[in-house]
Amino acid sequence: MEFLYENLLLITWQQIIMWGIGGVLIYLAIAKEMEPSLLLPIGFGAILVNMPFSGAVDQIINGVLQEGALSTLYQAGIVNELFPLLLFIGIGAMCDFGPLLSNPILMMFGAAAQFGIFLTLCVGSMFFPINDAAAIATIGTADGPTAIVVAQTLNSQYLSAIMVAAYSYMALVPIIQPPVIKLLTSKEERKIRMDYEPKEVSKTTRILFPIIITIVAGIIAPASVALVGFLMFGNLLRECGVLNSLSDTAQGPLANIITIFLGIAVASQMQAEQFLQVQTLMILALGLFAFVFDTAGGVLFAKFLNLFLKKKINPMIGAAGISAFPMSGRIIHKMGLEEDNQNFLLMHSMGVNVSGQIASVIAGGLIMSLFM
Amino acid sequence: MFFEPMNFINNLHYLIKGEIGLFVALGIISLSIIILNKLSER
Repeated sequence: MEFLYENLLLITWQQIIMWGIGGVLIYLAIAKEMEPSLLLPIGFGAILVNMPFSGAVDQIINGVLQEGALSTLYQAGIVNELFPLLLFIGIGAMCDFGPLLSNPILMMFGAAAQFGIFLTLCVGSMFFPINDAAAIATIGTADGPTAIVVAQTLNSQYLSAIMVAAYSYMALVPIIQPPVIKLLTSKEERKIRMDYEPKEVSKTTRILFPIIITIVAGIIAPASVALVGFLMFGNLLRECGVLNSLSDTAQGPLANIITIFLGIAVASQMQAEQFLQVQTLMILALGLFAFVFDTAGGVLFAKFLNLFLKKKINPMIGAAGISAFPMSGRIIHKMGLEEDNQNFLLMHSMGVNVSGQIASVIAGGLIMSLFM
Repeated sequence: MFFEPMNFINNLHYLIKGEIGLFVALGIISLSIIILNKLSER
């Protein structure tokens, strides 16, 4: 009967903490609906890999390597960056860049709202080697796949903590952004109304747009070409008009399958001895710092433009450049309505939000180009 | 993990390079779209 309880004695307090963390992630996914498609697999995986001699991950038993399914999945799809890149095809197919194409100047807000990434890089370098600081800074892209690709490319040892922070903060955007925006804007500024004059965007523009972005990003930041290219390939499937079934597959089944594999494969790196470190807490703090200063960067850029514009911009829309599509765009719209129930900012904030999606991917590529 | 405050100053050039790179890339893309929109209006 000894075999029934001998494993019980091998359980460490660190593993029990990891079960707790896994439980919290599952709770947030189900009860609070915070990024459930990723937090649930990650949470469950965290429990799965923290059993004594878990068969889900590689173990060396009696000097012999016993391969675990999650470690194999991690090697197959994360180490070579395949899963996050494939997921980008789905994300690209889901994105409607129409509001941005009808007002391309909104693109600049995407650039301003990546300020937190580069500031976090500098702050993080006080505590971590520069490659790890750069990987941690990409939490501020508010874009899980980009954060994974950059962390993996820069060979950061903190991939699991970075991914957990990236997805958790994306889900916490409705809590993080409003106080920062309110701190930086006056009531009058938040009430600024913006007219929306929709312009027709031709099919040619919609088709050429993903191709132009890929070429420009590829020339300026060659390391970003895979990230940007897969995102734009997905968008081209959507916009070309002759591949609707492929576009539907990319948006639905492909994105869903990859999301399942991605979440559970990343959890293979959440073993207690790797995850429970002071560094993890520091990474979570730096991730929050990046989100706060991304938001501030976007808002302050809009306020700066207002110094020169006759027709003022509502500075809140700058905050939507953080990416985290479409959550951030919706929050800005909601905040506008709270100040003035006739102030409809949705189309502007969504335009800025999709520009943030593009800017965050290019920012990730720039970071890779700077440190590879 | 360590604490090296001077690294912040030493690495500030990455902030400048990164933001300039982003504004240039997105500026070129914006301009291209404006031109495309103008051409397709004709």
